[in-house]
Amino acid sequence: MRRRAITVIVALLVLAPLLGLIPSTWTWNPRLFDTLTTTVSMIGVLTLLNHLIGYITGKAIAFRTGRPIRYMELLISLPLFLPVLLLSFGLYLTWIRLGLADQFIGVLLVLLLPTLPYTIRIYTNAFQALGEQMMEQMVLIEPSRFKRFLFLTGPMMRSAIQSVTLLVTVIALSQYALVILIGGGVVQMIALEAFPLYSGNSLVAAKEATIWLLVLPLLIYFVQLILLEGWVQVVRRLLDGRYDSARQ
Amino acid sequence: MWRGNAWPATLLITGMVGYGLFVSLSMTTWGDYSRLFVDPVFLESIGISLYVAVSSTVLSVLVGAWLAGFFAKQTGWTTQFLAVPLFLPHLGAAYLAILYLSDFPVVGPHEGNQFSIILTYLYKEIPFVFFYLLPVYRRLDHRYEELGLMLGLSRMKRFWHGKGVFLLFPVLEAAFIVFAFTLFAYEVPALLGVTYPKLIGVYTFDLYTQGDLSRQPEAFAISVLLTGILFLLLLIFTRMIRPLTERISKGRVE
Repeated sequence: MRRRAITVIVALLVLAPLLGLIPSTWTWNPRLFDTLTTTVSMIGVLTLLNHLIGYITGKAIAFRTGRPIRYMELLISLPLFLPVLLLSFGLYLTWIRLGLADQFIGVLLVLLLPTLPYTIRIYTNAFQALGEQMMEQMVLIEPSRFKRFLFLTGPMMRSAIQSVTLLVTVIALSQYALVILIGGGVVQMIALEAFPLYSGNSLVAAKEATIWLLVLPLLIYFVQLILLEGWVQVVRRLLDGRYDSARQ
Repeated sequence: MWRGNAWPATLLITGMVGYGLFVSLSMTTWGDYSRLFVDPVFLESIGISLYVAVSSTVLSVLVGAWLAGFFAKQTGWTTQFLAVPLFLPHLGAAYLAILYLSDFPVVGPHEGNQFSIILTYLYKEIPFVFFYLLPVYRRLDHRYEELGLMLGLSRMKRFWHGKGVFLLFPVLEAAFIVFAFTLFAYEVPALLGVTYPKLIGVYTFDLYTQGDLSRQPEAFAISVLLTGILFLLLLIFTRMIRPLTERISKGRVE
């Protein structure tokens, strides 16, 4: 009974504020729409990089032992505990020297700071949950590294892959200060258009921006859900009892 | 089996953090730091930022940890509901505060008590803490507490040896992450905060981007100073607490 009451309270507190986002009139702000190309490509590349680096690093932190890896773990989690925005003042000067300022790639590199530590953490936990014995078993079953990932490791890490993409998307969408500083206003992500709308007077325009900010992560999340579901289906069909020792 | 490689990530992150800090440091002189300590605007900004960060952190960790403990065994719908704010970027949460709280006198945006900022953070950080601690609560072994009951330990001691030891580090870690974020964030306070005193993230960023060039060393000095202080805190945190929890949870003789 008490449990149910708490669930209801949580649901109300979480969902009620979102009711204000239901659009009453359909507006279409072309300036917001124009930033979508940069926003989506930035998030796409950033997510891919996060998965790639997160996977190999998370594996190392989960399965390697010794002092060096513990120090690396601490160094990797530094951006979670330090003011990334303040550190980017110095980085910006460096980026100017390297020719990375006001460039897509410069913003991409800086956006790794607030996202990558979370990604690595999620992958580390996923590998720890799988466990070393399980990984060793998989090597015995399937010697090919590519096939092992396709059939076993990948599908087993579904929830980790989903959480990483969601976190990276939401964090990257929200970065206004970092993107305007490093991107110099040239790299147009959606936050740059949305932010002035919030401090303006038009609640309708601000609402539309917020809907974009909420719909983008949801869209990306569901596209990925369908892709992962398809992956698992394909794996099931391909395996189809191939490793079943009972079927001679 | 290939055991992964942590070098690329370590070099990438340490390189960017270290170099950013190094450049900031090279842009400042001793005078900049000594001026900071007597600058009333800066000190007031630090004060108000600490108030916002500490209250947001304490409240969200308490509520988030309590919810995680309560729903660790069977989550049901609560997990689904609490996942919703994770899909909403901080900017969107700030808009919700503008939308709903503007008509209220005490909790509205641009009020001196900064309640709207704290409420926005609570909406976003409670789910974060909840999902951060949920796996930890699920891994707890209730048999320790039963053992404590059998040995006739007091309630407090039972909780400490059965749960507290395993929870201490993850809870503090979650608190540290939320604290560092709420202390330096720019977007939410820039939209909901007052014009004076500005929160430290907004104050420093505006100093760097809108001030004239003569004020820039000040921004660099703040950056170095705060990074240094937080780094020290982190060192103390990992040196003091981690060995303690590791020693206890590995069950070595104290």
